[in-house]
Amino acid sequence: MSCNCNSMNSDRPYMTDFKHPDCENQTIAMAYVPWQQFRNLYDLDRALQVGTIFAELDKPFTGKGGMCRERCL
Amino acid sequence: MNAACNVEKQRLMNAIYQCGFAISDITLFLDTHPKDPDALDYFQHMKHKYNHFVAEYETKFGPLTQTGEQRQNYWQWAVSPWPWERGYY
Repeated sequence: MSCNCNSMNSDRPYMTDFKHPDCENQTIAMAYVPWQQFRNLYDLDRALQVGTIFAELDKPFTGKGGMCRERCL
Repeated sequence: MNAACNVEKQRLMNAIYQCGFAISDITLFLDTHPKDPDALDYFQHMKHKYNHFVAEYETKFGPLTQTGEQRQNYWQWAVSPWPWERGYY
C-alpha cells in the first residue's frame, strides 16, 4: 500500500519520522491496530451464537486480563 | 398450525437470522475493506441466501415486513400472529 505520510508532513519537519502503520518503520509512541484479513470464518450457526463471523474476533470476556481461551488459539 | 409446520417455520426463521447477521458483520468489514474481493463475494452470496430464505418464508407463512405482502386480494399482515404470540416461529 502506498502512503503519502512524508509528503503530508513536509511542512512539519519534526513529524517527518512519522510513518503510516503499513510502512516499514513504525515510529515509537504511536498505537497501531493490525490490519484485519478476510479469513477463518465461522459457519453461520456458530457466528450468530458468538456474535461475529470472524474466528479471530471471537474474544469472549474471561474475567482475567491477557488470558486466551482454547477456542481463541 | 401443526408441529411439522412450526418446525419448518422455525428452520426458515433461524436461517434468516443467521444470514442477516452475516450480512451485518461483513458490512462492518467492507466498510474498511471496500475492495476486498473475497469479502465482496461473501456479501453477494449471503445476500442471495437471505433473499431466498425470506421469499420462501413469506410465501409459506406470510409477510415478515409490510413489503413482503404476497397476496393481491387480502391483507395478511394484520391477521398474522404478533411477535409476542410467537408469530415468527
